[in-house]
Amino acid sequence: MRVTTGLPGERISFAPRAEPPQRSACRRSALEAFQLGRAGCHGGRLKPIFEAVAKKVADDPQTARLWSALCLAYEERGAPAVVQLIRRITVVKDWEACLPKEAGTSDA
Amino acid sequence: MPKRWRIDSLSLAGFRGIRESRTFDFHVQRTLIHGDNGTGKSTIALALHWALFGAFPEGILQNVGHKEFVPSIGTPAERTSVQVVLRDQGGSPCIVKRQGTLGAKTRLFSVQRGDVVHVDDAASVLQGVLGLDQSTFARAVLLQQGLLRSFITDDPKVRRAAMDRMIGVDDVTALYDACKPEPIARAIADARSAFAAAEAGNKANTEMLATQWENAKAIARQFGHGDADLVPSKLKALLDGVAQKITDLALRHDVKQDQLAPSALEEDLHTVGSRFRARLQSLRTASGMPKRLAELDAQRQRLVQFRKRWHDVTGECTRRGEELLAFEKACGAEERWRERHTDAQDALQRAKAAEREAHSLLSLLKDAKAIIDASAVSSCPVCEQMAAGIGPRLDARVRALATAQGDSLSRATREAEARVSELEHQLASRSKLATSAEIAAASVEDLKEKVCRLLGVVALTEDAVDLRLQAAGEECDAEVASAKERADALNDDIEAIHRALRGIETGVGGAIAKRDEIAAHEKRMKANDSSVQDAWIAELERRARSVEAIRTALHDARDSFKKAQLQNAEDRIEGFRQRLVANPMFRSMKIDVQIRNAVDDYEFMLEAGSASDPSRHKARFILSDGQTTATAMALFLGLAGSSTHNLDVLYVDDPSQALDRPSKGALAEVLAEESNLRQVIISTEDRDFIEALRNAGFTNDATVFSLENWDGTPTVSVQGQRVK
Repeated sequence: MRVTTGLPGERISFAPRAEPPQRSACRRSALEAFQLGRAGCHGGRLKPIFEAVAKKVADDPQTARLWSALCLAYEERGAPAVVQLIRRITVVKDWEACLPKEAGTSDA
Repeated sequence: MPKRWRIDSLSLAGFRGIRESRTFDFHVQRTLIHGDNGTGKSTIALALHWALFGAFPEGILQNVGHKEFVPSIGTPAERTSVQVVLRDQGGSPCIVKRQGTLGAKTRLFSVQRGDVVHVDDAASVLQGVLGLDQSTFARAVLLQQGLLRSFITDDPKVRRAAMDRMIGVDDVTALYDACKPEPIARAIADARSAFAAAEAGNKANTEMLATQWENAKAIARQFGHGDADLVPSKLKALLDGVAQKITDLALRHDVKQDQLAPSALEEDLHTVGSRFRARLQSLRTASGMPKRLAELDAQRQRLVQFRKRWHDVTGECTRRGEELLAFEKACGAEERWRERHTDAQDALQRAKAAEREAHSLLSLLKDAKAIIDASAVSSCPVCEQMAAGIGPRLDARVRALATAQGDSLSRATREAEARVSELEHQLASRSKLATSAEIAAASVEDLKEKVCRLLGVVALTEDAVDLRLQAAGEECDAEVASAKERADALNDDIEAIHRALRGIETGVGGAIAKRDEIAAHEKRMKANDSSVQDAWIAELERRARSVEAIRTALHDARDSFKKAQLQNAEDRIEGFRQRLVANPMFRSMKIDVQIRNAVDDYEFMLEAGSASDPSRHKARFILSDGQTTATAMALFLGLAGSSTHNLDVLYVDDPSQALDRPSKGALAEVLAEESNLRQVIISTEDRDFIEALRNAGFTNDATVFSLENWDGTPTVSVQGQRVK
């Protein structure tokens, strides 16, 4: 696909992502990755929902990290990855150690 | 103020029903596309969707088989291309071009500046430009009948999916559905039953190991090891003690061997035992005891055999001598027998001579008689006696010689021959006895020489042989006894060391191994003790609570979001409904959301009656198909108007299905009004609806495409003028 635009005076003001989603997802917090993920505005459209969830679970750090990890899993590989992650936490004692470091440091 | 983009043109080639290149210039204004079925109206909507997202809305194609679905028949997939030119309020273009089917690289550049910027995922950038994703496009920009039909189905799941998609929370629903705490609940149940099973097994194992430990201690005690020995630190000392015993034993038996390496802690007990046993075996061999015993035993056997043989040989010699003596005593000395033999032989010669003479005389007499008888002589030529008187006498004499006299001579000869034969037999017997005696005597001499060699002496008398053999045998016996005593002592020492080794291996080693096993078991028990188990189950329960909390939060947030969306659009929806659905009985419609089995169920509820006496009715039970379709369309238009994105377009594909004329007229008016707010593109084959649009003023200043004469590519007319 080729996209061209001619925006006077600006080059590409709408291009926040200069990296493939997988790489950036590893470097950003889960919620941020979700917001800027493959669906683009997908995260933005649903931002109120995800912010509400993040706010509601913020009091419990483990739940907050799990939510971030679930967001990241869903963003990267969809619902099957979420199911897989939930199965994983039933067997792995330190499940957070298996996640990308940034996933557990979400400020969500 | 965000940029709002409208569609300026859409060019497509090799795309489904449009094989040749066609460009549709919308001029960023309202557009009507009409034509009969199969002329390519929906193809234009699909091409727009595909160009922007590289996929199709759900229900159209499950994003598989693009190569079969996208290219026109007979057109290579790589020649398929769609280009969309969008323009913002200021007239700046954004050109999107997709070529091929899937996997094409994306390029992004600014036309005015002429810069080319390569971006890996232009899809995301495009979504950023337009401010909408495929889901939003499908629910807020492109209206298709397939979407509307889902609202009037009896299946609550389909209704829920349609509403979620329409409101834009289907992604959240998918995430919510995936966040199921059941796997954790199952894991908790499994952990509980596994722990219970492990606890029962551990208890049985503890009892069994305690019994085995007592048995191991008893075995160790049998080998003289107390409880204090049953520790690994003692094991090395015990093994080193055994090594020292082996060294001492070698010294005692004058066996030179390399220093036995002490046991190493890291060495396996079995390896040490094997090493020590090999050393004991080599010590036994190097001591020479077995060899010496074998040699002495052989010597003893030889002496016994020689003595027995001496007795046999000398006995035989004596017996032969006695036989010869007895013979001579009975028959006389050999000289006498030889004289008699000579005499008998002489007598035999004489008898034979007398017999030969008698025969000669008889022959002579017979010849004389014959001559006398044949010649008729008057006198005997021998004795000159008168023939007449001699004949009878000759006959008498011949007869005498031939009978009694002849017999007597023959008898004498036979008797002489018998005598000679008898004497020869006697002589042979005597000679045989003498020979046997000589052989026996030679054997005695031969054996005596051998005995001398065996005993290492130069000469022995016959009388001394037996005594010397006896004495040598007794000496040998004494040596054997002594050697055996030493060998037994060595064997006893070795056996004692073996036993000590067995004691260490079986007793101490077995007990230590059992102690290790008990320690491992206790460690396992400790790892699985109730506090650890409870901690793990508590952790799982905490995780389950986390998932449940997320799920609840997600559900609540989604509900709030949905309510807000519906609330925001409520007035617009109701406004559209009242215009599109002509039914005087119902004053308003609400979207009722009920939760059944933790699943939302949407229902269009119509309100009738007065404000003081209201009644609510499910729309799908009351309204006709056309009215339900119109209701769903009101919902779509209301929600679409509430969506925030940057694509200032409403694309309505064949909206008048199942609508009656008044509804078509109302819809045409609604769309004409909408076209004053945004770019509205309508495609339809419904001539009544086209007429209604014309009446509503939609076609004023609109671009009107007419598609006809399809032969792989439609003939396109704009405002009645055929274009290429």
